[in-house]
Amino acid sequence: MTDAAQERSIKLLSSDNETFQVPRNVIRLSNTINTLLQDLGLDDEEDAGDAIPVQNVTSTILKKVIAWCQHHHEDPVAADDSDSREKRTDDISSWDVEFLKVDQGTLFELILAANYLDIKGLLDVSCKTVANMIKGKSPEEIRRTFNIKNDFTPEEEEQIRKENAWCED
Amino acid sequence: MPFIGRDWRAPGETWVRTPHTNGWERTKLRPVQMASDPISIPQPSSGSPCSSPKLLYDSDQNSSCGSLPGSVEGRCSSSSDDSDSNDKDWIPHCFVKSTSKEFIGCTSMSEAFHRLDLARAVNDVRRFNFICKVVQILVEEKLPNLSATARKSLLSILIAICFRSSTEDVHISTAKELVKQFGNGLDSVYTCGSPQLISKHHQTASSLLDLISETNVQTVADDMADENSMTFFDLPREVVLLILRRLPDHRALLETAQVHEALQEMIDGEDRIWKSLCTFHFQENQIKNSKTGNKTWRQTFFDLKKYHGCRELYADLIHICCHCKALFWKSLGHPCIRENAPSVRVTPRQFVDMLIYL
Amino acid sequence: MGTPSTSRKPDAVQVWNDLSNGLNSAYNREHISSQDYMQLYSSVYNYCTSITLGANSTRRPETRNVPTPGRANQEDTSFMGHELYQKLKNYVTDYVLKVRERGVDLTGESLLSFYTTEWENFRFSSRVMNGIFAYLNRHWIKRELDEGHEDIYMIYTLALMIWKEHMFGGMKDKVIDAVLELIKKERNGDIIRTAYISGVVECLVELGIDEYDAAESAGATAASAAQNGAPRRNADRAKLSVYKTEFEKRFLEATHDFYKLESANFLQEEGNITEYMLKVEKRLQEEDNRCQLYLNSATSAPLAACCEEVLIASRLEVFQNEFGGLLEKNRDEDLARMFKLCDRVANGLDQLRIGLEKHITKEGHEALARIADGNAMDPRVYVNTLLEVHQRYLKLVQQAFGNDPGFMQALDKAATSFMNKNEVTKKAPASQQNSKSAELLARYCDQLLKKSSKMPDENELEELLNKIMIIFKYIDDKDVFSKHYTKFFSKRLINEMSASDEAEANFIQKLKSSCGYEYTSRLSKMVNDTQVSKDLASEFKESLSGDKKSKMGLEFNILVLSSGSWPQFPTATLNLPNRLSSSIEYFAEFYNAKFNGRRLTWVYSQSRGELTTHCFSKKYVFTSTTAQMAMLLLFNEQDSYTVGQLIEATALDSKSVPQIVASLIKNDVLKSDKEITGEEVSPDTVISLNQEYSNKKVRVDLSKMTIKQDTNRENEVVQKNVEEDRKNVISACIVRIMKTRKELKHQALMTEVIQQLSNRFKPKIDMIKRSIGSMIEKEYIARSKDQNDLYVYIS
Repeated sequence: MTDAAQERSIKLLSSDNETFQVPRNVIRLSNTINTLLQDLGLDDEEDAGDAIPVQNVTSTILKKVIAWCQHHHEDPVAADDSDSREKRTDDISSWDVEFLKVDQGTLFELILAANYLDIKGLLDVSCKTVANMIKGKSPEEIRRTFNIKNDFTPEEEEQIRKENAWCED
Repeated sequence: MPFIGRDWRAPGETWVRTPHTNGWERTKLRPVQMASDPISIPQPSSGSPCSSPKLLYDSDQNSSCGSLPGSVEGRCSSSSDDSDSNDKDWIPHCFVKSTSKEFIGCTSMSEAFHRLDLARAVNDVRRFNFICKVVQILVEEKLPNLSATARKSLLSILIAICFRSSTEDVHISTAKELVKQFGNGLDSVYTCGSPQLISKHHQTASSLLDLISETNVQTVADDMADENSMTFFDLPREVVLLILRRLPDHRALLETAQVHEALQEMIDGEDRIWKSLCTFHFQENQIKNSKTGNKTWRQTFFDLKKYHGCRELYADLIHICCHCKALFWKSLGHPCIRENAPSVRVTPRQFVDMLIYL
Repeated sequence: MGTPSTSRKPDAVQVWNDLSNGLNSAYNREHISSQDYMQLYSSVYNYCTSITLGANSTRRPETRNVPTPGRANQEDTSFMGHELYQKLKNYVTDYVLKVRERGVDLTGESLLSFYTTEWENFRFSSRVMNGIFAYLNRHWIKRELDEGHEDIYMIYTLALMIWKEHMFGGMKDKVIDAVLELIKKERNGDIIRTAYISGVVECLVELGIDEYDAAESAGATAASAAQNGAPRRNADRAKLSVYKTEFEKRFLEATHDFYKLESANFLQEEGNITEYMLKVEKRLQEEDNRCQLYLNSATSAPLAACCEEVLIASRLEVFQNEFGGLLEKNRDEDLARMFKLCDRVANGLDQLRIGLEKHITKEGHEALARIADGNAMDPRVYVNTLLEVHQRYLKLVQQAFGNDPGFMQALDKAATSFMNKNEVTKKAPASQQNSKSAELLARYCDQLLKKSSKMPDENELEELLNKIMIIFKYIDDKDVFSKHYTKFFSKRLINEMSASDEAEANFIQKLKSSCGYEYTSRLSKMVNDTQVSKDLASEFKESLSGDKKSKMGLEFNILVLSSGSWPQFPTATLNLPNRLSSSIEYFAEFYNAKFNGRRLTWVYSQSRGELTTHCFSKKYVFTSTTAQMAMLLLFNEQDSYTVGQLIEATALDSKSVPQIVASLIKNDVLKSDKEITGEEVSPDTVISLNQEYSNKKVRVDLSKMTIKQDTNRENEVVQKNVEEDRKNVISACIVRIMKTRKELKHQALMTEVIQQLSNRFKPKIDMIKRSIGSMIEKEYIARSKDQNDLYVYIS
């Protein structure tokens, strides 16, 4: 890709028909869009044509996603994709912590958008945030956090507790 | 050479009399105490952004009762209280005193907590786990050894932890557990301090427990408000899997499995979750030795845990500078005479061992 | 989820219909807009993510009617992924089969054109497909790979696998035939469309992909592959197995056959080695370019090896046969080319080295044979001839043969051969043949270093000396050289004939660095002696008091030399005239006072003196030997003596007197009443002073006439000395070796001795044997009692 191509703006269209202009080198963080541009050879064309429809993402969420990409597009590429990075749930930059201080619904929408657009960093950090909401809680507290109905009978619960206790040793 | 007294470098402690405890406090620790000092805190009316749950102020505002402090955040926002933090560029660090080469050194607990800014650091997700571990060691093992002042410092950290847990709805159980331990510890016959102080601490602990439980209810209520917003169960299976894979230990997984049948089925059925847990906690050769034949990854994990124990990783942790013997947060650094002076990591256990419980 | 499209489980049939329409346009190379692309991607995404944990929860009960809610999720997703994957696989397979159908009757270039175009299209379309199904790659396929399922590939890899199995598998022979045919055409000089070949080659390389993609470590690779949109060719990773087995092997075979035929034809028709080498060079270059241009660079090495095998290795004999001829004709350029070509194959140079050695040896001998008839014993001509041959071939080795050590060795061997034994040395008496070269070289050195009218300047001399050292290196009998050199050197020192002390020291230094300290220690001592005695002489002069000085009444100079370091001088007895003996007495007195216990031996034979005559018509100054002087001084007493009287007066032996007399008569200073011939002179022959003596010059050197001795005899003496020395050296060497080894077998001892002495001379085997025998006699060593061929050192 030439520098000029990097500088170009790409148009994205949200599910509720709002158009967003995003610099090419910012949107490259989305593998889905990046691959599309490469596969269809749109990088070489002067005019990228019509806006790319991002039909699964609403404008509210897309705006946030673009903001995230904007902030992170110059980050060095993390080489290892290993479990060690995946599991360090406390390893979230303070910017991301602030960024993800949103209601649960938005957080989940962000996760879905990151998954849909294949933005590894955003998916990772948002999943970690959810994991942090699970960690250090009792089952009942987790249920309360996510508003999950308990579908175990008390007998079943007792059974599981026993099994787990056995595991622990 | 003329005689130079100890005070040349470290002026003797100055003590002030504080009205609310009706006792003496060390001046240099005032800022720490003030965080837990109901009289000195600005009330919400004074413009503090904090909206502490009203519940805590139900008991009267009298100093003799265990009312909760005006939040940690309140203290943070009014940094003018803090003589040391006046300077915006101040980087938290704390020197240890060492008498011999074999012994790294030690420092007073209250001072270390204050100078390393632990109460505020609790709000940083990267440091939270480390501090929790330190507090856990202290409440589980050292409570009877703590002086009353030290215990006050500890309590202030606990308060900070609980505030964070309740406002952000994270680590509820962990926080609860710590407070409970603290409360139980107070009952020991060896506990230092006047009966009034002990009872005050008891009260604080119990109101902290209330705080945690109550906030939780609140969050849920908020969520219920919006019927259309997404819920955890609306996430695709693969995404839930991604989230579960990010849980760093078996405890979290087992607790999660008890939440719902679907989750239990996933955690039991997806061996990959356990595989990634194994590769996270153990070395490749350890795994190779243990994983044989048809053994599931789940079984492998528990076998390995028995032999090797789990790995403790912190995004940020305390280091000690080999050059100037300062304790500091790795991510923040510290002012040192030498540039790039080497430093070594300090585990929570080692950190506790460096403290004098004053 | 917020969007309506995902609020219910998508209908599998409907989804697949949409997708196959999309795939149709992708594979038919219709224009795909980004809208279509995203539409297809979203279909796959929605289809794959339609199963949620809550799908069976109370909130959306209508979406699921599975009897055991929640429990079937895993199987369900797995099934959905599998379904999609299978459909996709079938679709691509169908497509590829249809493509093959169209190409089944094609051959040659039209087949290549078809194949490369279709491949390019397929690759592009598959990449798009990979992008559209990226979500399947990321989750379902990654998971299958993680769990070690075989036969599951990333979508793009799957497409390649299908192509490989159905398309390539079906027509590979024809395709590769066509490629090879095309390459052959180009080799025959036609211009071809190389794009066809590079297209096929790229395809072959990419088809090697499954080897690493399906491997154990699929996780990491798959992730990076998905990240790049499609697995790009990665130079480090690319396994070339398909390329190697399917193409390279056949290509090399074809190359082999082609060049075998070509070289056979060429050599038969043209037979000219120069042309052939040019051709080979050009072909090798062409093949290398071919590799870089449109084959895989990994082929470079095997291809070169193949060509070298056919064009060079199997034709080595031709090269070897022609080598001599090229040397003969001094075709340096061709020789260099031949060297470079033969250097490329194993053992290609061996025969050439042998050929070179033979040739140089022959050339050397011939050159010497040419001068052997003329003034062969002229050292200058001899040495220059040796040098010429050596320089010629040294240049050849350096320039044409790239200083190859093997060729250098061949030169060395040849030089050793013709420099030590040749037509010139054969002319010498039998006993001296081996050492003639050494002697001539030493003589040449003497010529260069002696004062003479045509002295070379400093730089020239340095160069000449360096050249001498080159020859010296090859001389076997370095000890003979040393003997002769010492002899000439002593003469130069005693007679002060050295052209320059610096040059002398310089040459000694060269010898030293070539042969070691021991070799030149004697020469250094000689230099030292002359220096010391110069100081001594001046000290002596100063010590003389006026009284003694006047008594001596003549200029007196002296050289005190330590007897061990110098060649042996004849010490004939002589009655010194009184005028001379007083000086000797004074010096002996002085010397003994200074160094108590040293013995002075006077070597009159080497001494010279000057006489001023007043008896002739004018004043002359004669330079003469001591003996001559003693004799002439007698004529101060009376004008004539009989020979008998002369013998008596001088106390010289009766043989040398006639010689001296003869030398003086030849100079016309004396005359005799009878003809003096040879050594036999009757004692009553009367010798008288020639009063009529006249000479244009005032200074006359009488001594020259006497020195003329038979060089042959001198050489024999040297040779004898050398033999004697060698015996000692060999004995010493044997003892030295045995002392360190204690025990040694006969053969080992022989080799060791030869090796240790190699830089001095080549000891003869029977000489060593004799030395061993004498050592046993002298009981330095003994034969072991148990083993006959084992020697034991006796301490």
